Order: sequence, then structure tokens, then C-alpha cells
Amino acid sequence: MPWIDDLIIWAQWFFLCYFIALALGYLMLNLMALLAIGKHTRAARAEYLPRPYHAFLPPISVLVPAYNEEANITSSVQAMLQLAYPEHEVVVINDGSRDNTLAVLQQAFDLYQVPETADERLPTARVRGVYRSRSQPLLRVIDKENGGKADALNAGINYSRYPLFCGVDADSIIQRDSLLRIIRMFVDDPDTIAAGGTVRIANGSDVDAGNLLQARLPKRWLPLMQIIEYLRAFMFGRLGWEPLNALLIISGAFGVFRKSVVVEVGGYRHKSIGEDMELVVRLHRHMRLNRRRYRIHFLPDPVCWTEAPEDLATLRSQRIRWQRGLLESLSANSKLCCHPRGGAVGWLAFPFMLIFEAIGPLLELGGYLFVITMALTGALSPAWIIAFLLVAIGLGILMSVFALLLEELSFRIYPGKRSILRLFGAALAENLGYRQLNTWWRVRGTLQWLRGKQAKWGDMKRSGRLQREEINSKERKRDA
Amino acid sequence: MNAPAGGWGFAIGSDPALLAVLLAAAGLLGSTVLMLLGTVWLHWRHVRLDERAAALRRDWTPRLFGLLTATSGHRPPSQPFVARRDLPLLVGLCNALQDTVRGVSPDPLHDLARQLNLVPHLRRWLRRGSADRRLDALTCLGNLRIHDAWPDVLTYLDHRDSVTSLTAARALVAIDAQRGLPEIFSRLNRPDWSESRVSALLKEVPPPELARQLKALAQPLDAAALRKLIRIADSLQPGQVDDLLRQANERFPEDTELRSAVCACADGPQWLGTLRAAVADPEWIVRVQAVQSLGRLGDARDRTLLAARLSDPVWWVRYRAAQALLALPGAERRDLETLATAHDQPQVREILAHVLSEPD
Repeated sequence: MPWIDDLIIWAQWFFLCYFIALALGYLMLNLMALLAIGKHTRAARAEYLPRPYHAFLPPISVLVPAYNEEANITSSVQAMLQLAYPEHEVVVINDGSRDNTLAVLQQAFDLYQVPETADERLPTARVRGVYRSRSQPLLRVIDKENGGKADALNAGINYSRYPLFCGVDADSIIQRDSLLRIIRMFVDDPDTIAAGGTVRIANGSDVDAGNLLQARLPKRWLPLMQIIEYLRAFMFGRLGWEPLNALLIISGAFGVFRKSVVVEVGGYRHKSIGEDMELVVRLHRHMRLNRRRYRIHFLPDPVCWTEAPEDLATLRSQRIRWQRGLLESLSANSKLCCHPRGGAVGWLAFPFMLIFEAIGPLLELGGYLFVITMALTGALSPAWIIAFLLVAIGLGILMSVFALLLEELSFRIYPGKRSILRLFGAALAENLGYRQLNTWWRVRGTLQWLRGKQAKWGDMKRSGRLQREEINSKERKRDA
Repeated sequence: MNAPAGGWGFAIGSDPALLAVLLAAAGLLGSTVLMLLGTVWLHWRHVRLDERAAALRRDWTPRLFGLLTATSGHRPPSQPFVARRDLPLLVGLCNALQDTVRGVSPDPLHDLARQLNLVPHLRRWLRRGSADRRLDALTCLGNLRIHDAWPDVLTYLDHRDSVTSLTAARALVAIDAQRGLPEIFSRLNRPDWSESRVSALLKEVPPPELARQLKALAQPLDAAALRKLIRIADSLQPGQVDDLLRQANERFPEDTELRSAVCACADGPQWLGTLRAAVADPEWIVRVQAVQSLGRLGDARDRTLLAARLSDPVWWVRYRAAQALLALPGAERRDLETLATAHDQPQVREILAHVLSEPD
């Protein structure tokens, strides 16, 4: 049947062109990331200058949305209170937790209720009460009815006192000097409206009472492969877009925003499952379309540590959620895509995200199915199949090794040659099964989004070890 | 492109497309290996550099501390040989230590620089060195207060890189504050010179010299530079910015940010009239600063004025007005508690209850 032959030829050319475009896109991102590392190195030369005078460091409200966090919340809040910064407050928002989160906080920090009002410019679920601490003057707790993470963050924005806010996850660790590092952008560039830092995986590292003492690689393969993914995502996925002012994601685990601009765009979007990305895309859309000067920065050195899932079920639900969040964010702000005033973000970053990240999993799965079908029907020779696989897997490995190189060029978090070799091993292994599994989960996320299924956070199974005192050092002793 | 079925189809030469794909795969593999080797080499190089830096720190930190804290007239003993490639490390260490004991006499450092023949190296770095070497040189020339280097350093004051220009500014002020400050003031409108960075530089200037230069500031500044200077001067020399505030009031009455800055930095009864007028300013950002300063400077007569702001449409103005009412001299908590229960507007009652519940 000649039409089948034509279809096969068209499909082959389609996948080849897609692949070339993907490779070129990644190449461009890599080059931009190299530029950004250079820029970051230049910015780091500010160390030659005396430290910024504290009177000019804008105060920051650290917002900690908490939902059923009774196990971790105390040590997490204690760590936030100990952040090195001249003036900050910690606002915990108890988002209608069904466990004893509020009671635990009340007991740990000697809370008492106050008749506090707020500049309520963002609508939220009803606030039941505001608490201050007798022992920690920097701490306030907002107790509200459940409305989701976005709603909790909006309530935190309403009740925050300072011009900048930093949204963090209650189960993450912010490196003690991260606020001082990230604020550099707001101090040196008055057009800055948001800045994000790097999120790294803490599994395997030495942690003590909510503070990370020494970064180490995990022993298990699943978190190790996620370290490679995070390195790739942050070292060139984010760094690469930064020089073009086209960064579309600031992780919800750690990002600082100018409150006035966030309020101006209406705060976080309610019921959004990817509220962090959606807000950043909306900020771009608002500023670009209104021809306003602005910068959204990514800084690789302020670090937030998080615990990666160690079992497949948790990882699956996380990846499905991320994919849905991505699709929601792009579809809600589709006006930005190729808009005449869209600039680099509208003409490069948005289409790139749409074609290679949002639709990418469907095409990748389609590619696998196509190759398998062709191989089974004998329409494609084994030589072609091997060549395709070599190129596809080779590109994946190259990207991961490039991220390792950028890491070595810049931060060298993981010590020793052994770490480099283990990470290289993970970069190889990741392409043989793990990547395909991820593709499948993302396809499921896409299908769920298309069906309009109600977004749910799902159960994020965490060991809570990041907050537990000395657990890792005890584990090491036991291992020894 | 689609190879015939059957067989392994490895007759590559007969299919140029397949050859291209295989070449691409080989290219990817080669690049991967190169990058991995590059990563390992970089790692090795960093480790070596760290070891050298640690050894130098071990040898030189006690020596340099001894020199920097030595009494005047003390001559340093002869110093060991420093390899040329280690000079940048030594200069970096010297600069870092100098920062920790800022204000000491540079004489012992001069002697050391002479022994190591450092100044010609610094000048060479300034002319031909990398960006890092240039910054090291600028900082070190400033620390050594090498007056001859003034023209060389001055050329970097207008460098397009803000860190380089600010480092040059710092060096100039260290070499000669009297000549350096006017150069800095005349460049205050550089948008990449943030208030925070400039104030950190000016903090190293002896306060009497800074006060004198602020008073003698001859040239009229534009609105942006004036805004910056008011905030910087107020943070470094609180209560001594009246001349700048007056300049702002007279020359830029339409500038909202300057009106707000005037209200925020106003200090002394001479500003009460301005503050009382600003309480009803159409811009909330001015009103909020005015009510706050009125709470600090005002008296019992301002009670009515502030009480009227308790029903301001902007929450922040209401909040600061309530705090200001509580801060006024002679203010009684009891009066506010009564007002908080008796007022007919719920938002006034709420904001007063809020402020009354705050810790002192």
C-alpha cells in the first residue's frame, strides 16, 4: 500500500526534524547557561565590595504554607527563624490541617491569639485566627480554612508586613545564608520583581535539626537519578533562560517575589496545581503586555534542599502533578505565546516549553511506538533502529554530563572524584528505563489534564528525615 | 530513508541518511567523553588550586596579621619568596585580612609591598590583567593608599561593569577621601550604583569628612541622584540631611518619591508644617510616611489629624496612623482603648484593636 509507505516516510521525517529541533534547542540553552555561569561569576565578584549596608536590605516575609505537617513543622519553623538575614518575619499559614499542626505550633512556640487585621487585597478562604508567639517575636501563625496551597500563600501575602516575600515549602531546608544571597538581585537591580534559587536533593546528606551540614550523594539509585534531573533542570534549564529574562519557573520550594507586583496580578491562582509556575508565567504576561520594565532572575547559589521521593508510587504522583501544572500554566497564559510584545519569553521560552516539555512526552512516546511498530513490521532496518536509539540516548547522556560540567565549573557541592563518577553512572543509567518511565507518567498527566480531572495534591510520602535531629549521622554510625 | 526489510542493513555507505545519523551518534558519544574528561580535569585543577591556597593561607595569615596589627614604626622581617603564580592568592588574602582590620595604618603593608615588589605587579594587572586581577589590584592599591595610582584608578570609575567601577570608587576614597567623595557624588545617578552599595562604600569614610562634603555639595543634583543621596545620607548621618531635604522640597515638589523621602527622613520640629500638610497628600505612599514621622515628631495637637487618618482607604495608612497615635507624647492607651470600642466605623475599631494588641 503506497499510502502507508508515504505515511512512514512522513513520520520518519517528522520525528527526525523534531529531534533536530530539540537538539538545537538544548544546544542553545547550554550555550546560554555557559554565558549565565560567566555572568554569575562576574556577579560573584561583588564579594570584592564591602557587604551591602544592612539598612538598605529590604525586609522579607518568609511564607510557610502548612497542611498536615505536624511531624515536621516545629523544626522547619525553627530553621526558618534562624535564617541569616537582618530583618525577616516568618508567617506560617495553617491551611485547615486535619492533623494537629496548629496545636503543635501553639505548644512549641507559646502562641496566643491576637485581633490582627490585614491588608486583604487578595481574596482567600476565611481566616479563623491570627497568632503571635511569646517566645519568637519574628513568628506569626495564620489559621485559616482549607483552600489549597495557592490560597494559603495568598493569605500569607495579605498578612505579611514586608515588601518582599519568600514562599517556601514546610518540608524543605533553606540554606542559612540563602536569603542574603538571593536579595543581591533586588539590591543591585531595581527592576527585579522575582528571583529563584536552586533546589537540590538532600537525600543522603548530613542533616541536623533542619540544617544541612554536608551534601552527600544518596546510596539509592532512584534519588540519585533525580539528582541528575535536578542538576539538568537547574544548571541549564533555568540558567539558560535567565540571560534572556525568559525564566518561566521559580520553584515553589524557594523563590522571592516583590509583593506589590504579585498583588497587582492577583496573587497565586486558586485551585492551580502548578501555582508556582503559573504565577511566574502570569507575571511575564502582565509585564510584557503592559510594556513594563522588569527582570525575573535565577541565581544558582542560594540553595534550598528538599527530600526526593524514594519510591516509585510517590515519584509517579509527583511527576503527574508537575506535568499537569505545566499544562495548566501554559494554557492559562496562552496569550503570551508569540504575542507581538512577548519578547524572548513569548517567542522562545513559551514555545520551547510547549513543544518540548508539554507536548514532548506525547511525541517521545509516539516515537517509541513508531520505532517498535516499524521494527516489528520490518519496515525499518535494525541498523536504523540502533542508530536512532544511539542518538536519542546519546543526547540525553550528553545533556546530563554537560550539567555535571557546569556544576564542576561553578559550585562543586558534592566532594570527591567518586561523586563525579557515581553521578556519571547515574547519567548513563537514567536513560535506560527511568527516562521512559518518566515519559509515561507525564503522558498520563497530560491525559488527566485533557480529561479535566480534578487536581489533587496526592500523598507525598516523605521520611521527614530533613527535619529530624541527627538522624543521618546516626544512620551513618549504624551503617559503619 | 526507510531501509528495506530483512537483513541488518549495515551497508552504511549505500544510505547517506543512515551514515549521517550514525555520525551524529558518534559525535554525541565523543562530546560526552570530552565533557567527562573536562569535568574530571576541572575537578583535579580545583583540588590543586585549593591545596595551594590552603598552604599559602597557612604560611601567610599569621605573618600578615602580625604586620597589620603591628605598632607604628615596626619594620617587618624579611619575608619568604612568593612564586609569581601565587601572588594573586597572596594579594587576595592580604585584601581580605585588611577588611577585617580596616582603619589600621598601611605602613607595614607598604614595607611588605616593597619587599615583594608588589606595586608594579598591581599596576600591570590593572592595565592588562583579567577582571579578577584588576579588582584585586584596585582593592590593594586602595588599601596601600598609593597616591601615585590615582589617575590609573580614576579611569576605572566610569567602567561599564558596576563592580569594577564601585571597587575603583572604594579605592579612590581609601586613597584620598577628600578628593574621592566629589567624584562619587557626581556619578550617583548611575543606575547600577545601588544605594546599598554606595552607602557601604561611604560607611568607610570618616564621618566628619562625609558630613563636611555633604554640606559643601556644590552642584545641584537631579531628582534620581537626590533621592539616592537622601536615603544614603540619612542612613549614615541621621538628622544631618536637612539641606538635601530642603533642596528636594524646593526643586522637586511634584516628585512623589522625593516627597515620601522627605517625610521619612524629616527630623526636627522645623519639618512639622511639611508633615502636617503631607498627611492629606493624594499619594498613599507619602501619607504613610507622613503619619509615621508625625507620630515620632508631633505633639498632642496632631491627635485630630492622625485620628482622621484612621479611616483612610489604605490599610497601611490606617495602621501607621494608629501606631502614631499611640506614639504621640502624652498618649494614653486608655484613650485609644475607649476609641477602639466606641468608634462607629468597624475598620477603625479593628485597626486600633490590632495596634493595641501589639507588643510594646
